This record gives sequence, structure tokens and C-alpha cells, in this order.
Amino acid sequence: MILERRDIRLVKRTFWLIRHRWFAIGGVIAATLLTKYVFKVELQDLPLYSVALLLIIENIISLLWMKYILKCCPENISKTVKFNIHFQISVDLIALTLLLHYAGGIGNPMFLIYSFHMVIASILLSKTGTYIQTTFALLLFGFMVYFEYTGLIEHYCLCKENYTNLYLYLDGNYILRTYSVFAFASYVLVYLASSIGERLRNQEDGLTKALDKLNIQDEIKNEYVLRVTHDIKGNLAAIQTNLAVLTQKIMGPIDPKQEEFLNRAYIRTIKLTKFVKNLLRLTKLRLDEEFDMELFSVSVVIQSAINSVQSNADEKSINLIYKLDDKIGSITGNKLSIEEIITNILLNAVKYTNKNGFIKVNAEDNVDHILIEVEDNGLGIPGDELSEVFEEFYRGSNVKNIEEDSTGIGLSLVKKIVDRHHGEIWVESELDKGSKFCITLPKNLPVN
Amino acid sequence: MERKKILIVDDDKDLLLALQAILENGNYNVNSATNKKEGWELLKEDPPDLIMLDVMMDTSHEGFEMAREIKKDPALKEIPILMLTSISDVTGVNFRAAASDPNWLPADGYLDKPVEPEELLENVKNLIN
Repeated sequence: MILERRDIRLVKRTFWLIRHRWFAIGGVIAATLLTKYVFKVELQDLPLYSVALLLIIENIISLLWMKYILKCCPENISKTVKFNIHFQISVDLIALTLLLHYAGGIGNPMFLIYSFHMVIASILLSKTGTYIQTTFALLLFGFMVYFEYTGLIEHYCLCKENYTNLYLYLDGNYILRTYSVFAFASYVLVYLASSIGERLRNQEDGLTKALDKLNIQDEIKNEYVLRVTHDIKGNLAAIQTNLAVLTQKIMGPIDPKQEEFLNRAYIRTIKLTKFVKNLLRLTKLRLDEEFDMELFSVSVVIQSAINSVQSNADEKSINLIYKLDDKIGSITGNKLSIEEIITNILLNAVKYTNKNGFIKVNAEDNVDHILIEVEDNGLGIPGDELSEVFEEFYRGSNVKNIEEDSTGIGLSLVKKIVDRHHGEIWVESELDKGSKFCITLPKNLPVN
Repeated sequence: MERKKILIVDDDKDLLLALQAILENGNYNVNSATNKKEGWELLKEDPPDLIMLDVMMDTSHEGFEMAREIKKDPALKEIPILMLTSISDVTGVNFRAAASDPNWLPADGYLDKPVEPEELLENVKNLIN
């Protein structure tokens, strides 16, 4: 049996009430001691301690009762818990009335404490329940005052020599005024508190429902992305591997004319696979909140990226030079993604740099961030296109005809990953002279 | 020299046939199954020198389950396992790094689909020796 969030909230608040009652009990005992021994006021301390004992018993019963409800019958929990709350508030009100009776009756302004219970009832109970408890409180208070006034029960005063208003409990006029104002104020208070309480409860329910719905949708989305990825990539993998069997003549020689067509299909499949892979990663980055972070050494990651593109650079006799500041420490981030973006930028540099060109990698520690620069003397980017470089599907107008293998997703993926690390990326470039890509990564990731 | 035996378990028959062609061309004997149950039968019948497993078959982690079960079987646990998957991009799991951790992913090697014939043969050769 899974409890609804609304019920969980109610149960939590009930336990909250029980926890706070221990403080109230402590308060009763402390106030009695303080009044008697510090303020030297005569009072009925034994009956007052007895009321504290009553509250202790009430609290233990409520606690055990709540535990029993949770264990035995969570089916109709909201009803049974509310019954428990009614019990708690009713006993509290009786205890408070007894306390007041033994501590001066209407002459003691402590009767305002009834309001606490009215507010608590407004938060935990329905409107009707709250009005019932308020009326109960006013009846208890009213009868106590009336019986003291008529002498049906004894009046206990909080006496000290210089007190003047020792006979307020016999002043009919005072009693009537105080009681009616208090009753009126109580109903207004309960009306306001329960209206606000109800509205907040409804809002809370609405938000909870929306959150549940979002969580379910999130799961569906993740499952969907996983399935789509698997199916698209699965089909592509089968096509590509089957074509590889033919183009690599694993099943024997093929006609050169046919081979030409097969090769074209094979190359385009490789390109499509790469495109789909990047597109899915981009989608995932955009959809996902989570990003596994770890502490890692930036130099090691840069070195590893350089090693992985070294052979590509060698093939074109490109001179790959690097200078990594010794001071560069570690940062918190997603290591694999950072290595991936540096590799990506390096591969781009190799791709768009002519034979015998150069690529320079420079990394330095700048107090609060690490700066990584990748510079080449390749084709460069036209000045009016510099602002679009990191946009999805951008391909330089000067390279479109030379390089067919570009999908226009790589750099937007790089930008997304840098953004997720709260870093910055920009490019400086001059057509036919070369480009310089700069990335900064903060050393301390801001929280959220 | 006797040809080494490889068992491939993958639910994609088209891919299976291509992988089989590549491996047979590389002088291996290849047996294939399209799901875990079939794979187990072949495995018991004739233990191979290498097992290649797809991750996502009937369920999204059938290959992982099978790898774990193989590594628990005293008679089979020494056979190297090469995992093939196309879902690393979405799960975000670094299979390559995890492949060396027997508690996490009980496989001896890992390849992302699609795999180039040359790379496949090289990995297979390394694992069998």
C-alpha cells in the first residue's frame, strides 16, 4: 500500500504536533516552577503538575495510536489520522481549561492560548472540524468562567500581596466583555486561518499532482529516447556492418564498378551513423538535468585528447605543438565530455588545416578558471559567420565543398557541454589565416 | 591449428550474419543465437573460446544479465566475454571503463556498434589469446 502524498503530509504534520507537545509540557512545568519560586506567587502547583502528567499520557497515547494506524490499516488513513488529531486537540483544550482554572481563571490572560489550538486545527482539519473544535474550546472556557462566577466550582487565584484585580472572576461586566470579544475574535481567526489553510492545501495538492505527472513523463521520455536510439542505431549498425563485409571483400572479390557504388553507400552510412550519434547526444544533453561530475586533472585530459588525434595530424604532416602550464590543477566536471570536446576541436583543426600546417594547444591556470586554446593556421572562418559557428547544423561556407564529412553538430555539442560546466567558449578567426578556439572552465562549479 | 570457436548472441539477425561472415573470414568457427535462452543452450552444448553479447535484446539489459550469469558459472566463467552495444550514448555509461570492473560489468571487452571489421578481429584476437 503506497500512501498518497496528501496523506503523507497529514501524517508528518500529526507527528510534528506530537513532537511540539513535549515542548508545551516542558513549558507548563517550567512556568509553574518559575511562578512559584521566582515570582513568589502562590499557586496550585500539584493540580498543575497533574495536568502536565495528563498531557504526557495524552502524547504517549497519540504517538502509539499513530504508529498503530500506520502499521495496521493504511487504507483509510486520512480519516483515522484526523480522528487522532481531534482526540489530541480535544484533550489539549480540556487540559488548557484545567490549567486556566487552577491558575486564576478569566483573570489570567493565558486564555489566549486557546488560539494556538484553533490555528493548529485550521491547518490540520477540515473547516467543519475546525469550527467544532473552536466551539468546544469556547464552551469549555465559558462554562469554567461561568461556574467560577456562580460559585459552583472554586476559584483559585494567582495571589500576591500587591495584586489588585483579585476579583475579576466575579465582575460580570468584565467577564461578558472579555468573553464575547474573545469568542468573536476566535471565529474570525478560524475563518481566516482555515480559508488560507484550505487554499494552501489545494495548491499543494495541485503542485504535487503536477510533479507526479512530470516524473512519469520524464520516465516515458527516457525510455523513448533509449528505444529510439537503440532502433535507429541498431538498423544503421546492421547496414554498415553488412556493407563492410562487401566493401572489404570478405566474401570475395567484387566488380570494380559495383564496388564504387557500394563504397559510396558505405561511406554515407558511416556519416549517417555519426550524425545520428551526435544528434542523440545533443538531445540527451538538452533533456537531461543530471550530469555526472567528478574531480579530474585537466592536463591529463588534454594530453589524452592530443594523443588520440596525433596520428591524424601525422597523416597530414601537421605540426602539433602544445604547452600545458605546470600549475594547472583539477576541476570538477564530466571528464569524458571534456575530453570529448577537446578532441572534437582538435579533430576540426586537423581537418581544416592544410598539409604541413601547425596546431598549437595552450592551457593555463587563471586563478578561478582554466583557459584552453587551440590555434591552427588552417582555412579559417568567414568573418560574417563567426557568430553562427556554435549553432546547430552550421557548416562554414568556405568548407562545404571541400569537406563532405561534416554534420554541423559537433561544435554545438561542444558549446552545450561547456555551458553545462558554466564555462565559456569563443572563436577568433581570419579567413585563410587560421582559427583560435578558446574555452574557459571554472575551477569551482557554482551550485546549481 | 584448430579453429577457435566464438558464440555470438544478438537479436539482430542481419547484423549477426555480417559479424559471422567477418569472423569466419578471420578463421574462427562461429555459432549464433538471437536471445539469452538460445545462447545458454549453445553455451552448455559446446562451450566456445569467446562469447560476444549484445546488451539490449528482449529486455534493455538482457546482455548484462547473461554476462553476470556466465561469470557465476564455474564451468564457464573463464570464457572471455566481449560486449557489443549501441546504447552507450543514451545511458551515458562509460562501458569501456566499466568493462574492467568485474563487480560492475562482468565483461572482458566492450565495443560500440557499429564496429569496423578490423577493430572487431583485433579485439577478438586479443581476448582469445
